[in-house]
Amino acid sequence: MPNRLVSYFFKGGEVVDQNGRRYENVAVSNGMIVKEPSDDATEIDINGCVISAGLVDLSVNFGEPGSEDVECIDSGSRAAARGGFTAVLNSSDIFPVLDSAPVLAEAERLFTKSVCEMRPSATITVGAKGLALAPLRELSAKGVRWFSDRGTIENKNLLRKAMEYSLSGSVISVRPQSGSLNGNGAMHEGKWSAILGLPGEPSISETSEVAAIIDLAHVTGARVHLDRISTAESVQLLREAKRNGIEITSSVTIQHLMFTDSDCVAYDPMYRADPPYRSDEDREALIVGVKDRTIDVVVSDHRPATAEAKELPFDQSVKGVAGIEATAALLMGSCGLDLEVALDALSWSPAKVAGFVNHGNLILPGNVANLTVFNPRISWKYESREQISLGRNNPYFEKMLTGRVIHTIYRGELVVTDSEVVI
Amino acid sequence: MIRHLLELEELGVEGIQAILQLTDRFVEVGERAIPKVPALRGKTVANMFFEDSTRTRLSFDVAAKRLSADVLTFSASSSSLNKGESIRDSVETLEAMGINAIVVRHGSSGVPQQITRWVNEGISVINAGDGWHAHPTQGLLDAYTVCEHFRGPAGPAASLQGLHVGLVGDILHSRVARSDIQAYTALGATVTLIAPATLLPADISTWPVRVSQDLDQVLPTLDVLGLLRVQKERMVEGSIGSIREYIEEFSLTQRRVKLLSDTAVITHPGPVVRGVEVTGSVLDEYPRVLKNRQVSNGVAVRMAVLFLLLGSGAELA
Repeated sequence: MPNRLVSYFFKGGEVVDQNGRRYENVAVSNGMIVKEPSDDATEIDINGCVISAGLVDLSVNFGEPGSEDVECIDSGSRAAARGGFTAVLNSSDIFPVLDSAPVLAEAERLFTKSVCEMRPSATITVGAKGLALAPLRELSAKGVRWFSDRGTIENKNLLRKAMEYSLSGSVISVRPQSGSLNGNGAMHEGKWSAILGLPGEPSISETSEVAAIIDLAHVTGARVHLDRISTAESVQLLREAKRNGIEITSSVTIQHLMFTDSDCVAYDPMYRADPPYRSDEDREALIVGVKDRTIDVVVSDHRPATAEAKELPFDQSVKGVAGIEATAALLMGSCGLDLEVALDALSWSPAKVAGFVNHGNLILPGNVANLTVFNPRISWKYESREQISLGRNNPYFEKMLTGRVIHTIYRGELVVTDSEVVI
Repeated sequence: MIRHLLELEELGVEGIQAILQLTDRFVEVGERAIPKVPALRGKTVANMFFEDSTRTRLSFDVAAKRLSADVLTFSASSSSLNKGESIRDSVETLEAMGINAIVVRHGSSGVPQQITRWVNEGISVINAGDGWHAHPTQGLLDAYTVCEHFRGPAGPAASLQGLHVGLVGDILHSRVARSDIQAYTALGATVTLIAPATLLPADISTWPVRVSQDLDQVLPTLDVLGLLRVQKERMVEGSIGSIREYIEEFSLTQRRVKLLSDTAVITHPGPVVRGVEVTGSVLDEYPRVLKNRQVSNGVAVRMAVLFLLLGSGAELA
């Protein structure tokens, strides 16, 4: 990633950061936010836009190594930048899975192709098989801060050991799903699964695990993150845990704030997800959870797939969405959240939770210039042919969205301008 | 004018009545010395069965042939699906051969609906059973058969008003149950489901049915007892304790059949597992078992469906 000596002067926008909102021009030079624009600074008019810290996504999979047919780091990171993200945490379920130092070294070598900051996550157990601990301390010493098997860990004793064994500063992230209660569900268990004749994954598959993991976090004192919660009961359990002073964080995907089980009605595999989209009540509770900051982080959960993987029968199709280019627009434009809340969930909190120290900071001279300029009022159509990501699994294709990322500045350089990637 | 038949909900009461009225005509055709009409001459119907089925495939086969349509049979086990071809590619291949309808059976719910998104406007998709979801022609033929027994030919306004139908067995995994419920209740019947909670979907609050776990108590109130198959693998997954225990509570035994009123009928979609959902001798001796009539009417119902979807403008001789 080059760091050319460039200077910009963003004029006429509204700054939004942890100190509030204010109309203020922002000068950038040599990768940093500076007090006064340099004489050669390029002026950029951002009237009507919001300028904030760059967005941070804690759940993406950019395909490399192992799934280059569905996405590459080049395409994935450019898509991320276009979506306003300046930092992403790549999933451990690359191929081979990231569970050892050599794979870490290869992943980090590949990550240098990224146009935003890209950090690896590693598995908690060897091969993500849930049987033996991966070298958490060795990987931690090499800079990995985030450990996740992507799925659940059935053996709770092993999970407890992982929490105790990991070095401080590490986060143990678990997707709460019971392997025995999940019902081999193709969708949420409820009135729609009954009508559609599809096996359902009940809410208790998740909530029983959330309760157990909160207890383990309490007992071990480890930094624990609940990855992609989906039920109203989970939100309530987390709210109580936080009230009781237990340090636990959580995330929800943008899709779970948009869709419900009723969206499965036409058996469109585009709406098969992990966890499944749940009821209206769950969706509403998740939005409230983001609003009252019970849920710390909103993720794109960018999981690219081929078109044919979404043309299988519903119950056999791959799960998930490759929607990173739409995430910010959806959260800031369609969920009825205050901009500060949306930015906290998409930037300030995830940067803090995952330790991205140069992201999610105040817009102040002396800080690294990782910035996003967002127009909250603009309406635009998400054209499939203009998407950068190679993923074809996107329910937002050809939909009208409100709010759009206009510029993305990574380490002081314009990566995206006028909504197009320019490097 | 409907183009596809995926499930019965979308037909509405009048749509169901229209098909049953048309079925009257084809029942009559079936009784002729030469039970064949030229209505669909020149049309081609493709049977795409991704899941084993004998009776439904044969029934659609006979129905299409009696309408003088040409029939292609695509069976998954002998096709390139085994070599990894996608359903969409298979469908497009058939489409390129110039077909007018695809009759689909698949083990996964929703596949017929997915196929409708891939075919041209000139092609109708008929669901011949998808996963646990729907088996609309079975629902229609069950409703027709019950109607015919109690009220005679369906006529323009078939009604099952006032009849009480009980469906016993594995409702959760049954596409027949879902389509039967839609057909029976659309025509005004009351439906009671009788099964242990593990063989019912978790949330049927939106279904227009009553639920009971006591077959003995329900039997005397029934006009129609609809038996459903129970598969042995349900024991393995813990849905029932044992077949013996299931029989004890939910099988139609010689003792239980005496609890039925003396006008009640018994239906079964087949294939019957004698000794599980029903004692073999009950099936042979009870005077009002409609099982075989269901099969005959099944051909007529499927003729009506094919004629309705494909025969626009054609004269029914």
